[in-house]
Amino acid sequence: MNEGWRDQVTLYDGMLLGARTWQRLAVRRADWLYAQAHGALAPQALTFYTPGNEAGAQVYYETPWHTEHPTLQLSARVTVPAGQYVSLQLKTGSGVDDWTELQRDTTTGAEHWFGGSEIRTYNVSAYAPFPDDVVLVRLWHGLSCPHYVRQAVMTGWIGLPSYPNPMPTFGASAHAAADFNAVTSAQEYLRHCAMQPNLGRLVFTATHTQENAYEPLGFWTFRRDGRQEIYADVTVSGYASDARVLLRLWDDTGTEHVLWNLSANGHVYQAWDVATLGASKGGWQRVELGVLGNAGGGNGAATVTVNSLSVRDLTAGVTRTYAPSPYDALATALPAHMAALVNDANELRPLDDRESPLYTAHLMAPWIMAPSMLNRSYWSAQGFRFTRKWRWLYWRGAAKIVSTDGQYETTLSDVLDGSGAQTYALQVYDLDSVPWLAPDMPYNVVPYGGNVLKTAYEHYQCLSAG
Amino acid sequence: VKADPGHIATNWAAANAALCASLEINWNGSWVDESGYLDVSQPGAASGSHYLFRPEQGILSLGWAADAVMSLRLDNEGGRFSRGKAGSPANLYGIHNKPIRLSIGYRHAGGAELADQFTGYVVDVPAESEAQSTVQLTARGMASQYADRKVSTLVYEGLSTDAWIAQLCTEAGIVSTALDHGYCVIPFAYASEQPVLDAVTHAAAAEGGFVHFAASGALTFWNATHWYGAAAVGTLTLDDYGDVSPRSRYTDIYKRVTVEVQPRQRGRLQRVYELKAPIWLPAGAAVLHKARLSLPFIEWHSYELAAGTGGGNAAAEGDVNVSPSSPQSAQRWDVILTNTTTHGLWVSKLDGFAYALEGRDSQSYEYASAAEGQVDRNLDAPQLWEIQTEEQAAHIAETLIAWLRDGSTGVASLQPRRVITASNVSGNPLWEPGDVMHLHSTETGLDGDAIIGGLDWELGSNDYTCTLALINAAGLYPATFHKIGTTVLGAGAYWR
Repeated sequence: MNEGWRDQVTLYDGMLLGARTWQRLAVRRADWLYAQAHGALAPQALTFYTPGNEAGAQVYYETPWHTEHPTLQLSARVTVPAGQYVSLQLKTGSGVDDWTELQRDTTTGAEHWFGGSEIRTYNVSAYAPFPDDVVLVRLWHGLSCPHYVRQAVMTGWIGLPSYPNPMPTFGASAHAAADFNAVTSAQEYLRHCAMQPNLGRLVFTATHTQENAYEPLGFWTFRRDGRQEIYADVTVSGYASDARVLLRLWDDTGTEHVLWNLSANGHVYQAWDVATLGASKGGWQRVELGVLGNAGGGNGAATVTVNSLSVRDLTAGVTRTYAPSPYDALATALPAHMAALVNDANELRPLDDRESPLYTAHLMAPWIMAPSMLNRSYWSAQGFRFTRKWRWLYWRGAAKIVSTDGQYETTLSDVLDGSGAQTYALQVYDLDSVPWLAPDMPYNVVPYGGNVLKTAYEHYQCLSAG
Repeated sequence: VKADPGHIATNWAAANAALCASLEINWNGSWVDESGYLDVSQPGAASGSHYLFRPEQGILSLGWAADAVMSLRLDNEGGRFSRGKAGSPANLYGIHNKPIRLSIGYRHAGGAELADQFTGYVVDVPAESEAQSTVQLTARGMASQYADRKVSTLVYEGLSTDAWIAQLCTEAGIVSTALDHGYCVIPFAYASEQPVLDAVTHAAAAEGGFVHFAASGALTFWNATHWYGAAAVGTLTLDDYGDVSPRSRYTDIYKRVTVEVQPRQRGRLQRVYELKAPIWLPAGAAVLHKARLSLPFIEWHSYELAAGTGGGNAAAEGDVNVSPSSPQSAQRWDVILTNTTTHGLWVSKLDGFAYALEGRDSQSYEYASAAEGQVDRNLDAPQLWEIQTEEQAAHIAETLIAWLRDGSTGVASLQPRRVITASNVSGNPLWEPGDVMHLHSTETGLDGDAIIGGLDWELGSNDYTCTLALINAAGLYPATFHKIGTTVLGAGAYWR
């Protein structure tokens, strides 16, 4: 929780080094940062479109706008038939048609990277302020233009502190206040790294029927950091005719690893150490769930419910090498105490060779895919599962917050137009006002009735009056 | 201790040094030397007191003292201090609330070496004494000038205690300050029509520090480690004082301290002001509207204004000018609405939107002391909104418990921290409240450092005498602590 963070006083030569007034606060901040680097992570769910014969926009991503992270970074694969195009558009006004095109891809032929390169970057600060203070992008497509997003992130580091260089080395000598303050500065830097939206884990049920072909049901991507375990929990039902349910991971070298090849109904869950699968720290990993039809002919079928897909700490063997300890007044201030704070901070730097790198990336939250986006599949019961981290829940559409055991639920408002139709206007809810929802508690955000929930995500600031 | 301009300390110790004083009054914008009207050879020429605490309330009142006072006996044969004497400064400029300052010291090498003794404002010359050849002039310290001054500020995030005090002083026009570095950070601080001295005193107390006006007139903040390693300015033995009387307040012994934490947080963007009744703006007129916000705001976002002719015609953007476009302080927006058209307008809507400051549920934290096991008494620490984190609550609780207990060697743990009054002391003009004095009192067994918590002084008959209220300093800092920049890591302990 953001409020768990504590400001630290600037020290000056001649002051006494305090336990509660400094050292314990420094440890608390270190623990807060470590918790951010090791809390459960929802991989970014990738949205995709396998076309019917229509033009339009089905793939949307959004995140609150922060001037310090002004660069949109988008990676997508597209296929463009002759005479068609795929266009990346940014919402720049409150009107229905207030979209500004950032990039148009008219390259026809085989599937290729959107815009001609794997990662396209756009500084969108010139378009601010944005409606609802949210950066919302979409891919507009012409007829029969299948595409999927591999990554949508806001990046940049404008006006934020830098990491002290060099960090002090504490020894059995007198140290100037600047050395202690460097620890504070390092923690401030890391805090800004940790201030990222909290995406939910997309939960859904996909019913799929097809012959002798592979059809993807879902994609996810994540950047490997100190969290080393991927966990999946799915329920397969309606299995028929020798279909296969595949869960595969492509590591950052592009090597495919088959995690599951399921051929029966049942509830399955498993965790994998991604390091043993070849995933490197700092590398982007991609996970794909799909159904393979009956190779022998006939309609293979399966209904797959994704209950959870998350990245988390290994259940054993996680080491925090330099965990600092809090000390009380009258305890001797030792070099080792300070060294632990320095080393612990160093291991959180967003560098690939560190133990728990806090990579900075504002992953954009996807909008839930509509059934019309899919080929030969039907999606239902879509929602998000969160582990509560921040105070503010952003959402669009009809949503209720439900405890994972179903015992508690809080229905949120929806915004309708004059005809009673959903507008999907952005709304923000103060999760502090939900009495049963404590920090770090898991909960679901799901639609209710026959209404649609477009998206939901947690954020550390409330930027909208919505 | 005050800065010695050269030889005050040696002259104080010398047998035949000549005491002298400088008195100045700022009648009309500049200081005027009135020393000629103060005769230090006369008995009772000047007297006063300057305290850091309220002696009757014990150590807990440290930092909450009454204002300094001074009384002068001045030559008034020419009617200089009589308001009714035509042409006198008191007649021309009045005398109440005139800045006044007194310095005392010794003559040296044909001149005078002086140290600040009092800076403040004249309260009065009693009317009945104006007709006398001498008048009795009373003055109060700097606090009197700011006692009723209220401040309203914006919301500040993450200021250290000293930075917040500095901000308050700036807002209140207190120019002369001397501030220790603070040990705590106030997550969200603001004042709304709050007496400035209350605000600075509370801020200091919330981290165990103290605020007072020094003899120079500077608002002074001392943090809780102010006396760590401080050298004694002198030693008082039996020969130096007329009497010494230690006092203990056993009601100052507590087993537990309860501190209330009042967390605050940044709230959502919301409407913090809504116009309750329409405002009529005549053509071309400017109207001051005093808006009071429903919540203090951290970050202003925008306002929405709607106006019309009253006949159904809405005003266009720019027809009403709004200045300033954001509030001046956390809860106050004195906004001038100017009708730029040639016809009257009703302002029907003026809504302000901002990220508000919200209070969270307050929590009480209780800290027990192991030492006072037999006395099951609880101290409720002052409720200070500046204490917004559990860490600060723990810090202040530990500080209070330690400060209440007398740390003298051989003294039972139930002994409250003593206050010792040493009277009829030959005063050194350089001493001031806050100085550390070494007290050697065979009668009481006290032999250690004490803080001058208060000082009653008298100047007259060519002598300067004091009664010192001394706070036993034993155990205030019960270890060799790690002093940043000085102590080797591994050789000193954490302070609180």
